[in-house]
Amino acid sequence: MTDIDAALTATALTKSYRTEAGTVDAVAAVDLTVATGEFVAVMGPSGCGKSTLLHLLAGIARPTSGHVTVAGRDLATLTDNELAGVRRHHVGVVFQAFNLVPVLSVAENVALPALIAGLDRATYRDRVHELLAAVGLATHADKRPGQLSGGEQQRVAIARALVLQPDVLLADEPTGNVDTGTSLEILGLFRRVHGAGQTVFLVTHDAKIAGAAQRILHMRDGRIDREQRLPDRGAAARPIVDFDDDT
Amino acid sequence: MLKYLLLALLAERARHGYELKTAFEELLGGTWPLNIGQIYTTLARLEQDGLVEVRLVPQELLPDRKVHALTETGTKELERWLTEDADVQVRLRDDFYLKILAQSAAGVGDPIALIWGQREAFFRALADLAGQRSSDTTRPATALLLDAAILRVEADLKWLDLAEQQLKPRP
Repeated sequence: MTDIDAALTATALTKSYRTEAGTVDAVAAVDLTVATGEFVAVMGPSGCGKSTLLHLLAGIARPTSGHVTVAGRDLATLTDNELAGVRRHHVGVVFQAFNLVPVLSVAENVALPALIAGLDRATYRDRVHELLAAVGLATHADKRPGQLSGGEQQRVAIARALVLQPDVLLADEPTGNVDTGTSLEILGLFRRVHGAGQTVFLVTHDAKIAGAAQRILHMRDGRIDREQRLPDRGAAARPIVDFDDDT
Repeated sequence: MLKYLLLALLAERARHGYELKTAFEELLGGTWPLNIGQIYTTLARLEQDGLVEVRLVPQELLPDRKVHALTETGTKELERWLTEDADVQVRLRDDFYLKILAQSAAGVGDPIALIWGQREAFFRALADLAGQRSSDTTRPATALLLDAAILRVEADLKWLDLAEQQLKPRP
């Protein structure tokens, strides 16, 4: 039924809301496939349904109709408990507002999903330190989130999302709360994470972040209006800035 | 402008022609490729104007090496340019602004398709710029130049969103 290499699929995915003006489809019959190891970004104006789409793919919201599969599992057939299990083990989610626990240390925040999953501390301790080193925060392990900058907090959130080695890393406006310099830092991190083989699917209005993806899906009014494939990174750098060469 | 950037690189240290070309292209993050002819033509003019002088560096077993160095007049000219207010121009004559303008006046073709074509080109440019910007070997001055280019592309993408809003057919 599903593509064996697909990390994530959506079929005729629809989420409708009732409003005073009638029923509105925030997400309208979306079909998509994200291959294992692929990096896909969704862009579109506010209210185009991109965040709702991400919530449906993450299993945070249930669709009105249609299907989502994560690593071959159809989320619609799962009970709430099973769905929570998929959310825990198969998808890692990064939010715009970081959502870190202020009273826990950085390392404890990263370890939290493993703790909730009931894993033995010895099995995840090394993984937490490895991830903190990978996001450049090895020396901040014992600090509290409040002592970190916005960009550092988002890096902690990305490490936390990766702690259980999810099939897909999902991110909702991961640079929505940080300045331009920091968003380039986060961009570099997503690129490295993807380079290490992680499937990444993110929703953003930050064109720089979308430019790092292999594919951009442009959403309009709940639908995927256009799809753009970007050239592979490492292609010869072309002169892209025009100067008035008047010496 | 090329002239002042070459003076700045010679103020850093004396260089020979090819070295100057490499240093220039690195500083500009590969966004402004030069051929060696342009370098030599400009150097000849700078020498003629007394801003740059040629020095001979003796080498063992090899013929003397010709390097270009900044003269005192050259240093003064560079300082003058650096303290002068930059010429601020809001550039609105880019091909894509004019195409969209012309399309809307003539009513020929599909404005939305035109916008999408531009948008895709800008995303490709942005991907290149951001990739270069996040490279560890980019020097700080070059990173700033790339930031300027990224901000401009982002502004152009926002403008395309506005154009799409206004030009899309009403349902």
